Amino acid sequence: MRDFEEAKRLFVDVIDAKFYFDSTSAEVSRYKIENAIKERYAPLIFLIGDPGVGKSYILRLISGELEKQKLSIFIDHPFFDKRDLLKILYEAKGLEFDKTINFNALKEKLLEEYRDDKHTIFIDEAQLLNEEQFELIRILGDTKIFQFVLSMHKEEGCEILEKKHFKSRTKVVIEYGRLHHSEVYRYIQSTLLMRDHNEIALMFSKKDAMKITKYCQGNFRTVKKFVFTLLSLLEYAKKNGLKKYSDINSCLLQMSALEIGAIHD
Amino acid sequence: MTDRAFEELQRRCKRLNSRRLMKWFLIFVLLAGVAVSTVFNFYIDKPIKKEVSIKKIIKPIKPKTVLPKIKKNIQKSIKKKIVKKDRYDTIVLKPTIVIPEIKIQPKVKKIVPKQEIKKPVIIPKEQKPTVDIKVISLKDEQSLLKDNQEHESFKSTLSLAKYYYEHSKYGKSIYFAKKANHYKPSSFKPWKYYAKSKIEQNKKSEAIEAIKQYLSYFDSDEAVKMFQEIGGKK
Repeated sequence: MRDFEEAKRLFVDVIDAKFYFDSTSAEVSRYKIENAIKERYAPLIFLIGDPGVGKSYILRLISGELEKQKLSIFIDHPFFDKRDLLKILYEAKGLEFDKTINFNALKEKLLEEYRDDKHTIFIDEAQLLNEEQFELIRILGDTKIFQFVLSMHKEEGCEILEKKHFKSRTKVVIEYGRLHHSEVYRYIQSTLLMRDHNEIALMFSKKDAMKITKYCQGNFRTVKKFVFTLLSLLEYAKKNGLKKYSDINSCLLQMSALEIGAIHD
Repeated sequence: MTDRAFEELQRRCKRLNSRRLMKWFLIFVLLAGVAVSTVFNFYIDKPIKKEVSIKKIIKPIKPKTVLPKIKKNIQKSIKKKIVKKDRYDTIVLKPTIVIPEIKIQPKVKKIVPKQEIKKPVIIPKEQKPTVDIKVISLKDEQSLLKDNQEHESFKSTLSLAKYYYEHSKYGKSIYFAKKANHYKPSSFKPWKYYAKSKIEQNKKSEAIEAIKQYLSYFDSDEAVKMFQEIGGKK
Protein backbone atom coordinates (compact mmCIF):
# COMPACT_ATOMS: atom_id res chain seq x y z
CA MET A 1 0.00 0.00 0.00
CA ARG A 2 1.45 3.33 -1.05
CA ASP A 3 0.84 5.80 1.72
CA PHE A 4 2.28 8.95 0.21
CA GLU A 5 0.81 11.17 2.92
CA GLU A 6 2.77 9.44 5.65
CA ALA A 7 5.85 9.01 3.51
CA LYS A 8 6.12 12.67 2.65
CA ARG A 9 6.23 13.59 6.36
CA LEU A 10 9.60 11.88 6.53
CA PHE A 11 10.99 14.58 4.29
CA VAL A 12 9.79 17.59 6.24
CA ASP A 13 12.77 19.87 6.88
CA VAL A 14 13.32 19.33 10.60
CA ILE A 15 16.47 18.24 12.37
CA ASP A 16 15.90 14.74 13.67
CA ALA A 17 18.84 13.81 15.87
CA LYS A 18 17.76 10.17 15.80
CA PHE A 19 18.29 9.91 12.09
CA TYR A 20 21.80 10.62 10.91
CA PHE A 21 22.55 10.29 7.22
CA ASP A 22 26.19 9.40 6.79
CA SER A 23 27.02 11.16 3.56
CA THR A 24 30.69 11.46 2.64
CA SER A 25 30.69 15.19 3.41
CA ALA A 26 28.99 14.65 6.75
CA GLU A 27 31.41 11.90 7.73
CA VAL A 28 34.50 13.85 6.72
CA SER A 29 33.33 17.00 8.49
CA ARG A 30 32.39 15.06 11.58
CA TYR A 31 35.75 13.34 11.75
CA LYS A 32 37.66 16.60 11.29
CA ILE A 33 35.64 18.51 13.89
CA GLU A 34 35.88 15.71 16.47
CA ASN A 35 39.59 15.42 15.87
CA ALA A 36 40.12 19.19 16.20
CA ILE A 37 38.13 19.26 19.45
CA LYS A 38 40.01 16.28 20.85
CA GLU A 39 43.47 17.56 19.97
CA ARG A 40 42.64 21.20 20.83
CA TYR A 41 45.31 22.53 18.50
CA ALA A 42 43.13 25.38 17.36
CA PRO A 43 40.80 27.54 19.43
CA LEU A 44 38.62 28.33 16.44
CA ILE A 45 36.99 25.78 14.15
CA PHE A 46 35.01 27.00 11.17
CA LEU A 47 32.49 24.85 9.37
CA ILE A 48 31.53 26.45 6.09
CA GLY A 49 29.11 25.33 3.42
CA ASP A 50 26.12 26.31 1.33
CA PRO A 51 22.83 26.88 3.15
CA GLY A 52 20.95 23.63 3.65
CA VAL A 53 23.78 21.17 3.17
CA GLY A 54 23.54 19.90 6.77
CA LYS A 55 25.97 22.00 8.79
CA SER A 56 23.52 22.69 11.64
CA TYR A 57 22.67 19.02 11.88
CA ILE A 58 26.27 17.86 12.13
CA LEU A 59 27.03 20.59 14.67
CA ARG A 60 24.07 19.58 16.80
CA LEU A 61 25.05 15.94 16.54
CA ILE A 62 28.64 16.53 17.68
CA SER A 63 27.50 18.88 20.44
CA GLY A 64 25.07 16.25 21.70
CA GLU A 65 27.75 13.56 21.76
CA LEU A 66 30.25 15.86 23.44
CA GLU A 67 27.81 16.82 26.19
CA LYS A 68 28.21 13.35 27.64
CA GLN A 69 31.92 13.93 28.25
CA LYS A 70 32.22 17.61 29.16
CA LEU A 71 30.47 20.96 29.06
CA SER A 72 29.35 21.69 25.55
CA ILE A 73 27.23 24.68 24.74
CA PHE A 74 25.20 24.90 21.55
CA ILE A 75 24.00 28.36 20.49
CA ASP A 76 21.59 27.96 17.59
CA HIS A 77 20.75 31.62 17.18
CA PRO A 78 23.08 34.59 17.02
CA PHE A 79 23.33 36.76 20.12
CA PHE A 80 22.66 40.45 19.72
CA ASP A 81 25.12 41.84 22.20
CA LYS A 82 28.51 40.62 23.38
CA ARG A 83 27.16 40.55 26.95
CA ASP A 84 24.61 37.98 25.74
CA LEU A 85 27.39 35.49 25.08
CA LEU A 86 28.73 35.97 28.59
CA LYS A 87 25.21 35.53 29.96
CA ILE A 88 24.80 32.24 28.10
CA LEU A 89 28.16 31.02 29.42
CA TYR A 90 27.27 32.08 32.96
CA GLU A 91 23.93 30.29 32.79
CA ALA A 92 25.50 27.16 31.26
CA LYS A 93 27.75 26.87 34.30
CA GLY A 94 24.81 27.53 36.64
CA LEU A 95 26.11 30.91 37.73
CA GLU A 96 24.09 34.01 38.29
CA PHE A 97 24.58 36.74 35.70
CA ASP A 98 24.75 40.14 37.35
CA LYS A 99 23.85 42.84 34.84
CA THR A 100 25.17 45.62 37.08
CA ILE A 101 28.77 44.47 36.89
CA ASN A 102 30.80 45.91 34.02
CA PHE A 103 31.80 43.80 31.03
CA ASN A 104 35.48 43.32 31.88
CA ALA A 105 34.73 42.26 35.44
CA LEU A 106 32.15 39.79 34.12
CA LYS A 107 34.66 38.39 31.67
CA GLU A 108 37.36 37.99 34.32
CA LYS A 109 34.97 36.24 36.62
CA LEU A 110 33.83 33.94 33.83
CA LEU A 111 37.38 32.96 32.93
CA GLU A 112 38.05 32.23 36.58
CA GLU A 113 35.04 29.92 36.74
CA TYR A 114 35.85 28.07 33.54
CA ARG A 115 39.63 27.85 34.04
CA ASP A 116 39.63 24.33 35.49
CA ASP A 117 38.20 22.60 32.47
CA LYS A 118 38.19 22.83 28.69
CA HIS A 119 34.93 23.74 27.03
CA THR A 120 33.55 23.74 23.51
CA ILE A 121 31.02 26.27 22.33
CA PHE A 122 29.11 25.65 19.12
CA ILE A 123 27.64 28.67 17.37
CA ASP A 124 25.31 28.12 14.41
CA GLU A 125 24.67 30.77 11.76
CA ALA A 126 27.82 32.60 12.87
CA GLN A 127 27.85 34.70 9.70
CA LEU A 128 25.25 36.88 11.42
CA LEU A 129 27.66 37.94 14.19
CA ASN A 130 29.13 41.42 14.04
CA GLU A 131 32.76 42.55 14.28
CA GLU A 132 32.58 43.20 18.02
CA GLN A 133 31.15 39.77 18.72
CA PHE A 134 33.78 38.10 16.59
CA GLU A 135 36.43 40.02 18.48
CA LEU A 136 35.09 38.71 21.79
CA ILE A 137 35.09 35.14 20.41
CA ARG A 138 38.67 35.62 19.31
CA ILE A 139 39.72 36.95 22.76
CA LEU A 140 37.99 34.09 24.56
CA GLY A 141 39.53 31.62 22.15
CA ASP A 142 43.00 33.01 22.83
CA THR A 143 42.67 32.15 26.56
CA LYS A 144 42.73 28.43 25.53
CA ILE A 145 39.92 27.85 28.01
CA PHE A 146 37.23 28.00 25.34
CA GLN A 147 37.14 26.40 22.00
CA PHE A 148 34.62 27.65 19.44
CA VAL A 149 33.06 25.78 16.57
CA LEU A 150 31.41 28.25 14.21
CA SER A 151 29.12 27.25 11.41
CA MET A 152 28.75 29.77 8.61
CA HIS A 153 27.39 30.09 5.10
CA LYS A 154 30.15 29.59 2.60
CA GLU A 155 30.00 32.96 0.89
CA GLU A 156 29.89 35.10 4.02
CA GLY A 157 32.20 32.71 5.88
CA CYS A 158 34.94 33.09 3.30
CA GLU A 159 34.70 36.88 3.59
CA ILE A 160 34.95 36.75 7.41
CA LEU A 161 37.94 34.40 7.25
CA GLU A 162 39.70 36.83 4.95
CA LYS A 163 39.68 39.49 7.68
CA LYS A 164 43.06 40.11 9.24
CA HIS A 165 42.20 39.12 12.83
CA PHE A 166 41.21 35.65 11.59
CA LYS A 167 43.63 35.31 8.73
CA SER A 168 46.70 35.31 10.96
CA ARG A 169 45.20 33.04 13.61
CA THR A 170 45.49 29.32 14.05
CA LYS A 171 42.20 27.90 12.95
CA VAL A 172 40.61 24.90 11.34
CA VAL A 173 38.39 25.46 8.35
CA ILE A 174 36.19 22.60 7.23
CA GLU A 175 34.11 22.80 4.14
CA TYR A 176 30.88 20.87 4.00
CA GLY A 177 30.28 19.62 0.49
CA ARG A 178 27.23 18.65 -1.51
CA LEU A 179 25.56 15.29 -1.97
CA HIS A 180 26.42 12.92 -4.79
CA HIS A 181 23.53 11.35 -6.69
CA SER A 182 24.36 7.95 -5.25
CA GLU A 183 24.04 9.48 -1.78
CA VAL A 184 20.70 11.06 -2.68
CA TYR A 185 19.49 7.66 -3.85
CA ARG A 186 20.71 6.01 -0.65
CA TYR A 187 19.14 8.75 1.48
CA ILE A 188 15.70 8.39 -0.15
CA GLN A 189 15.83 4.62 -0.01
CA SER A 190 17.00 4.41 3.59
CA THR A 191 14.51 7.03 4.81
CA LEU A 192 11.58 5.27 3.19
CA LEU A 193 12.67 1.71 4.00
CA MET A 194 13.31 2.61 7.63
CA ARG A 195 9.61 3.42 7.99
CA ASP A 196 8.41 0.45 5.93
CA HIS A 197 7.47 2.40 2.82
CA ASN A 198 9.02 -0.30 0.71
CA GLU A 199 6.71 0.10 -2.24
CA ILE A 200 7.33 3.84 -2.46
CA ALA A 201 11.08 3.28 -2.07
CA LEU A 202 11.00 0.93 -5.05
CA MET A 203 9.41 3.66 -7.16
CA PHE A 204 12.68 5.65 -7.06
CA SER A 205 15.29 4.53 -9.52
CA LYS A 206 18.94 5.59 -9.66
CA LYS A 207 18.11 7.62 -12.72
CA ASP A 208 15.43 9.50 -10.79
CA ALA A 209 17.95 10.16 -8.01
CA MET A 210 20.35 11.55 -10.59
CA LYS A 211 17.68 13.91 -11.87
CA ILE A 212 16.74 14.96 -8.36
CA THR A 213 20.40 15.67 -7.56
CA LYS A 214 20.69 17.69 -10.73
CA TYR A 215 17.63 19.76 -9.93
CA CYS A 216 18.66 20.23 -6.28
CA GLN A 217 22.38 20.66 -7.02
CA GLY A 218 23.19 18.20 -4.26
CA ASN A 219 21.73 20.37 -1.53
CA PHE A 220 20.42 18.22 1.31
CA ARG A 221 17.61 20.55 2.33
CA THR A 222 16.46 21.03 -1.27
CA VAL A 223 16.47 17.27 -1.80
CA LYS A 224 14.15 16.85 1.18
CA LYS A 225 11.92 19.62 -0.13
CA PHE A 226 11.91 18.08 -3.60
CA VAL A 227 10.99 14.59 -2.42
CA PHE A 228 8.27 16.07 -0.19
CA THR A 229 6.75 17.89 -3.19
CA LEU A 230 7.08 14.84 -5.41
CA LEU A 231 5.27 12.67 -2.90
CA SER A 232 2.56 15.34 -2.57
CA LEU A 233 2.03 15.22 -6.34
CA LEU A 234 1.91 11.43 -6.31
CA GLU A 235 -0.59 11.59 -3.48
CA TYR A 236 -2.78 13.98 -5.47
CA ALA A 237 -2.55 11.80 -8.58
CA LYS A 238 -3.52 8.74 -6.55
CA LYS A 239 -6.51 10.48 -4.97
CA ASN A 240 -7.75 11.77 -8.31
CA GLY A 241 -7.04 8.57 -10.23
CA LEU A 242 -4.58 10.17 -12.66
CA LYS A 243 -2.92 7.13 -14.18
CA LYS A 244 -0.37 9.20 -16.07
CA TYR A 245 1.08 10.32 -12.76
CA SER A 246 0.72 7.08 -10.84
CA ASP A 247 4.46 6.46 -11.05
CA ILE A 248 7.53 8.67 -10.99
CA ASN A 249 8.25 10.03 -14.44
CA SER A 250 10.20 12.91 -15.92
CA CYS A 251 7.09 15.06 -16.06
CA LEU A 252 6.42 14.63 -12.34
CA LEU A 253 10.06 15.36 -11.56
CA GLN A 254 9.86 18.49 -13.66
CA MET A 255 6.67 19.56 -11.97
CA SER A 256 8.30 19.11 -8.56
CA ALA A 257 11.31 21.11 -9.67
CA LEU A 258 9.04 23.88 -10.93
CA GLU A 259 7.07 23.86 -7.69
CA ILE A 260 10.14 24.28 -5.47
CA GLY A 261 11.69 26.82 -7.83
CA ALA A 262 14.66 24.66 -8.83
CA ILE A 263 13.86 25.38 -12.49
CA HIS A 264 11.89 28.11 -14.17
CA ASP A 265 9.70 28.02 -17.25
CA MET B 1 -2.03 20.05 -3.34
CA THR B 2 -5.07 21.70 -4.86
CA ASP B 3 -6.57 21.00 -8.30
CA ARG B 4 -5.65 24.44 -9.49
CA ALA B 5 -2.05 24.16 -8.31
CA PHE B 6 -1.69 20.76 -9.99
CA GLU B 7 -3.16 22.00 -13.27
CA GLU B 8 -0.92 25.05 -13.18
CA LEU B 9 2.10 22.80 -12.71
CA GLN B 10 0.97 20.58 -15.59
CA ARG B 11 0.63 23.62 -17.84
CA ARG B 12 4.06 24.94 -16.88
CA CYS B 13 5.59 21.53 -17.42
CA LYS B 14 4.05 21.29 -20.91
CA ARG B 15 5.32 24.73 -21.78
CA LEU B 16 8.80 23.81 -20.59
CA ASN B 17 8.76 20.60 -22.63
CA SER B 18 7.60 22.36 -25.77
CA ARG B 19 10.40 24.88 -25.41
CA ARG B 20 12.88 22.09 -24.92
CA LEU B 21 11.58 20.30 -28.00
CA MET B 22 11.84 23.48 -30.02
CA LYS B 23 15.44 23.92 -28.87
CA TRP B 24 16.37 20.37 -29.88
CA PHE B 25 14.58 20.78 -33.18
CA LEU B 26 16.56 23.92 -33.96
CA ILE B 27 19.80 22.20 -33.01
CA PHE B 28 18.86 19.27 -35.27
CA VAL B 29 18.01 21.56 -38.18
CA LEU B 30 21.28 23.42 -37.72
CA LEU B 31 23.31 20.21 -37.62
CA ALA B 32 21.44 18.79 -40.61
CA GLY B 33 22.16 21.97 -42.54
CA VAL B 34 25.84 21.72 -41.73
CA ALA B 35 25.89 18.03 -42.69
CA VAL B 36 24.08 18.61 -46.00
CA SER B 37 26.36 21.47 -46.97
CA THR B 38 29.44 19.41 -46.08
CA VAL B 39 28.24 16.42 -48.13
CA PHE B 40 27.25 18.70 -51.01
CA ASN B 41 30.64 20.42 -51.08
CA PHE B 42 32.48 17.14 -50.78
CA TYR B 43 30.64 15.21 -53.50
CA ILE B 44 30.15 18.07 -55.92
CA ASP B 45 33.79 19.04 -55.84
CA LYS B 46 35.04 15.49 -56.12
CA PRO B 47 34.50 14.80 -59.88
CA ILE B 48 35.93 18.18 -60.75
CA LYS B 49 39.07 17.37 -58.84
CA LYS B 50 39.76 14.60 -61.34
CA GLU B 51 40.36 17.15 -64.07
CA VAL B 52 43.75 17.86 -62.68
CA SER B 53 45.45 18.19 -66.00
CA ILE B 54 43.86 21.56 -66.75
CA LYS B 55 44.48 22.80 -63.26
CA LYS B 56 48.05 21.69 -63.27
CA ILE B 57 48.73 23.63 -66.41
CA ILE B 58 47.05 26.77 -65.21
CA LYS B 59 47.82 26.77 -61.52
CA PRO B 60 51.58 27.36 -61.52
CA ILE B 61 51.18 30.31 -63.87
CA LYS B 62 48.36 31.79 -61.81
CA PRO B 63 47.03 33.99 -64.57
CA LYS B 64 43.90 34.87 -62.62
CA THR B 65 45.80 36.42 -59.81
CA VAL B 66 47.53 38.74 -62.19
CA LEU B 67 44.64 40.17 -64.05
CA PRO B 68 42.01 41.90 -61.98
CA LYS B 69 38.30 41.62 -62.63
CA ILE B 70 36.76 43.57 -65.45
CA LYS B 71 33.86 45.90 -65.12
CA LYS B 72 30.54 44.41 -64.23
CA ASN B 73 28.65 45.86 -67.21
CA ILE B 74 30.78 43.85 -69.59
CA GLN B 75 30.26 40.71 -67.59
CA LYS B 76 26.52 41.20 -67.73
CA SER B 77 26.45 41.53 -71.50
CA ILE B 78 27.94 38.08 -71.98
CA LYS B 79 26.32 34.96 -70.59
CA LYS B 80 28.80 32.60 -69.17
CA LYS B 81 28.41 29.00 -68.29
CA ILE B 82 30.45 28.11 -65.28
CA VAL B 83 31.79 24.66 -65.72
CA LYS B 84 34.25 24.30 -62.94
CA LYS B 85 35.19 26.01 -59.70
CA ASP B 86 38.14 24.65 -57.82
CA ARG B 87 39.25 25.30 -54.29
CA TYR B 88 41.69 27.98 -55.29
CA ASP B 89 38.91 30.16 -56.68
CA THR B 90 40.31 29.71 -60.13
CA ILE B 91 37.26 29.87 -62.32
CA VAL B 92 37.75 28.10 -65.56
CA LEU B 93 35.16 29.21 -68.01
CA LYS B 94 34.00 27.23 -70.91
CA PRO B 95 32.39 30.19 -72.52
CA THR B 96 29.24 30.00 -74.48
CA ILE B 97 29.34 33.54 -75.59
CA VAL B 98 26.14 34.91 -76.91
CA ILE B 99 26.46 37.88 -79.12
CA PRO B 100 25.24 40.88 -77.19
CA GLU B 101 21.90 42.21 -78.20
CA ILE B 102 23.20 45.74 -78.35
CA LYS B 103 24.48 46.27 -81.77
CA ILE B 104 27.60 48.30 -81.69
CA GLN B 105 28.36 49.99 -84.91
CA PRO B 106 32.01 49.67 -85.70
CA LYS B 107 33.76 52.92 -86.16
CA VAL B 108 36.27 51.58 -88.60
CA LYS B 109 35.06 51.08 -92.10
CA LYS B 110 35.45 47.74 -93.75
CA ILE B 111 38.62 47.82 -95.68
CA VAL B 112 38.78 44.24 -96.74
CA PRO B 113 35.74 42.15 -97.65
CA LYS B 114 34.90 39.26 -95.33
CA GLN B 115 35.68 36.52 -97.72
CA GLU B 116 39.09 37.92 -98.38
CA ILE B 117 39.90 38.08 -94.68
CA LYS B 118 38.99 34.52 -93.97
CA LYS B 119 41.61 33.14 -96.28
CA PRO B 120 44.74 34.06 -94.29
CA VAL B 121 43.12 32.92 -91.04
CA ILE B 122 42.85 29.32 -92.19
CA ILE B 123 46.11 27.73 -91.22
CA PRO B 124 47.27 24.46 -92.69
CA LYS B 125 47.68 21.61 -90.18
CA GLU B 126 51.38 21.26 -90.70
CA GLN B 127 52.05 24.93 -90.23
CA LYS B 128 52.69 26.23 -86.77
CA PRO B 129 49.81 28.48 -85.73
CA THR B 130 50.76 32.09 -85.60
CA VAL B 131 48.57 35.01 -84.76
CA ASP B 132 48.17 37.43 -87.59
CA ILE B 133 46.74 40.26 -85.61
CA LYS B 134 46.98 42.73 -88.42
CA VAL B 135 44.54 40.88 -90.59
CA ILE B 136 42.12 39.92 -87.87
CA SER B 137 41.99 43.41 -86.49
CA LEU B 138 40.36 44.52 -89.67
CA LYS B 139 37.28 42.43 -89.01
CA ASP B 140 34.26 44.19 -87.74
CA GLU B 141 33.16 43.61 -84.20
CA GLN B 142 30.26 41.32 -84.93
CA SER B 143 32.18 38.97 -87.15
CA LEU B 144 34.96 38.84 -84.57
CA LEU B 145 32.50 38.06 -81.83
CA LYS B 146 30.80 35.42 -83.97
CA ASP B 147 34.09 33.86 -84.77
CA ASN B 148 34.98 33.90 -81.13
CA GLN B 149 31.68 32.31 -80.21
CA GLU B 150 32.05 29.51 -82.69
CA HIS B 151 35.71 28.77 -82.16
CA GLU B 152 36.96 30.44 -79.08
CA SER B 153 40.70 30.41 -78.96
CA PHE B 154 43.68 32.47 -78.04
CA LYS B 155 43.67 33.98 -81.47
CA SER B 156 40.01 35.02 -81.50
CA THR B 157 40.00 36.48 -78.01
CA LEU B 158 43.24 38.35 -78.63
CA SER B 159 41.78 39.75 -81.81
CA LEU B 160 38.85 41.06 -79.87
CA ALA B 161 41.17 42.54 -77.23
CA LYS B 162 43.09 44.29 -79.96
CA TYR B 163 39.95 45.41 -81.77
CA TYR B 164 38.45 46.96 -78.68
CA TYR B 165 41.73 48.59 -77.73
CA GLU B 166 41.96 50.18 -81.14
CA HIS B 167 38.37 51.38 -80.84
CA SER B 168 39.02 52.87 -77.41
CA LYS B 169 36.80 50.37 -75.63
CA TYR B 170 39.34 49.66 -72.94
CA GLY B 171 37.07 47.81 -70.54
CA LYS B 172 36.18 45.22 -73.18
CA SER B 173 39.77 45.08 -74.32
CA ILE B 174 40.85 44.22 -70.77
CA TYR B 175 38.18 41.53 -70.61
CA PHE B 176 39.29 39.82 -73.81
CA ALA B 177 42.95 40.28 -72.97
CA LYS B 178 42.24 38.42 -69.77
CA LYS B 179 40.46 35.66 -71.70
CA ALA B 180 43.28 35.39 -74.20
CA ASN B 181 45.77 35.13 -71.36
CA HIS B 182 43.77 32.21 -70.15
CA TYR B 183 44.46 30.25 -73.30
CA LYS B 184 48.10 31.09 -73.57
CA PRO B 185 49.43 32.46 -70.32
CA SER B 186 53.02 32.62 -71.55
CA SER B 187 52.22 35.05 -74.35
CA PHE B 188 52.88 38.70 -73.63
CA LYS B 189 50.36 40.00 -76.17
CA PRO B 190 47.27 39.83 -73.93
CA TRP B 191 49.29 41.44 -71.17
CA LYS B 192 50.32 44.17 -73.55
CA TYR B 193 46.71 45.04 -74.41
CA TYR B 194 45.74 44.80 -70.83
CA ALA B 195 48.53 47.19 -69.80
CA LYS B 196 47.86 49.57 -72.67
CA SER B 197 44.16 49.69 -71.87
CA LYS B 198 44.96 50.36 -68.25
CA ILE B 199 47.22 53.21 -69.23
CA GLU B 200 44.43 54.64 -71.35
CA GLN B 201 42.14 54.37 -68.36
CA ASN B 202 44.66 56.43 -66.37
CA LYS B 203 45.59 53.44 -64.27
CA LYS B 204 49.27 53.41 -65.01
CA SER B 205 50.21 51.88 -61.69
CA GLU B 206 48.03 48.85 -62.43
CA ALA B 207 49.61 48.52 -65.86
CA ILE B 208 53.11 48.62 -64.35
CA GLU B 209 52.07 46.10 -61.73
CA ALA B 210 50.68 43.75 -64.40
CA ILE B 211 53.86 43.81 -66.47
CA LYS B 212 55.90 43.39 -63.35
CA GLN B 213 53.83 40.33 -62.52
CA TYR B 214 54.33 38.94 -66.00
CA LEU B 215 58.08 39.44 -65.76
CA SER B 216 58.12 37.59 -62.49
CA TYR B 217 56.85 34.52 -64.41
CA PHE B 218 58.42 34.87 -67.84
CA ASP B 219 61.32 36.55 -69.56
CA SER B 220 60.38 38.71 -72.50
CA ASP B 221 62.34 41.51 -74.12
CA GLU B 222 59.15 43.09 -75.31
CA ALA B 223 57.78 43.11 -71.79
CA VAL B 224 60.99 44.61 -70.43
CA LYS B 225 60.95 47.24 -73.10
CA MET B 226 57.36 48.17 -72.42
CA PHE B 227 58.00 48.17 -68.72
CA GLN B 228 60.82 50.65 -69.20
CA GLU B 229 58.79 52.71 -71.58
CA ILE B 230 55.90 53.20 -69.24
CA GLY B 231 58.28 54.15 -66.50
CA GLY B 232 58.38 51.09 -64.32
CA LYS B 233 61.29 50.64 -61.98
CA LYS B 234 62.94 47.29 -61.42
